[in-house]
Amino acid sequence: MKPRASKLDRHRDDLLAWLLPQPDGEGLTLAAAAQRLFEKHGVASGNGSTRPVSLSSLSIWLERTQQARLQERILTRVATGAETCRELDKKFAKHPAPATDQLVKLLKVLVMQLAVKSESDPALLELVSPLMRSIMDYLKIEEKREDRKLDERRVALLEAKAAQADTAKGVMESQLTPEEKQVKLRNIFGLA
Amino acid sequence: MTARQQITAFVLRALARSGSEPVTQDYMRGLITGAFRHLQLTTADVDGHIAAIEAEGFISGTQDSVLGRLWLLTATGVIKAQQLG
Repeated sequence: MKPRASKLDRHRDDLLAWLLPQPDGEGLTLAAAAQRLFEKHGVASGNGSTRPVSLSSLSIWLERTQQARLQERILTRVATGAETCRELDKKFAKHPAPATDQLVKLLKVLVMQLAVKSESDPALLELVSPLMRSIMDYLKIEEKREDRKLDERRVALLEAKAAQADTAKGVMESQLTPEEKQVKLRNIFGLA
Repeated sequence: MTARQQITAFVLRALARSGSEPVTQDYMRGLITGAFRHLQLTTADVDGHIAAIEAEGFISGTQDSVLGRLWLLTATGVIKAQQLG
C-alpha cells in the first residue's frame, strides 16, 4: 500500500529547501526549482531528455511530499500525546479513587485531542504543559493531604493508647482487689 | 492507492502510536481531517471512512457513558499497522 517512489524523492531535501516558502525555504517557483534540479543533478523529464521535469509532475510530487510530511508530524504528535498519557497513568496510580479514575480518563482524552488538533492550531499544544503542571500540582496537594490524614490518624491512635495506659496505671495503683483490677483492665483493653 | 486506502493506512498507523488506550470518535475525526485537509472531507465523509475501517475488521467500537463511542485496534488491525510501519 506504499505510494510509488519517484525519481524526485532522492532530491527531496534539496527540492524542499528550494520550494518551501521563506523562512523554511527559498520560495522558488516550480519552474526555477525544476531548472535548478536539471542543472545541479541532471534530473530531466525522461530518459535521454534535455528538458527539466515538467511543472505538473513537480507540483504533484510537492503536494504528495507535503501531505506525507504533514501526516508524519501528526503521527509524531500522536506518539507524544500517548507518552504523556502513560506519564499520567503512572502519576495517578498513587490515587486510585473512582473520581480520580474518571478525571484521568477525561484528561487523557484531552491530551490526545490537543496532540492531534495542534497541527492546525499550534497554540493548543502550548496548553499541554500548563495543564500537566496543574495536574501535577493537584496531585502533590492530594498526596500531602493523604499524608496529613495518615499522620493525624497515627497521632489519634497513639493518644488513645496513651490514654489507655494512663487509665490502666490508675487501676493498678488503686485499692481494688486483684480480681476487680483484672476485670477493669480487661474492659480498658477491650478484652471483656 | 485510493483515498480510502490512504486514510485506512494512516488511521492504523496513528492508532498503533496512540498506545493501547481506546480513542474517541472526535479524536478519529480530528486525525483524518487533519491529515487529509486537501480532501476537504465533511463529517459524514469522515464517519463513513471510520465505518469502512471498522467493516474491514481493523478497529472495533464500544460505547462509553461519558466519552461516547470509543475505538480500539483489533488484533487484525495491530498486525496490519505493524506491516505498514
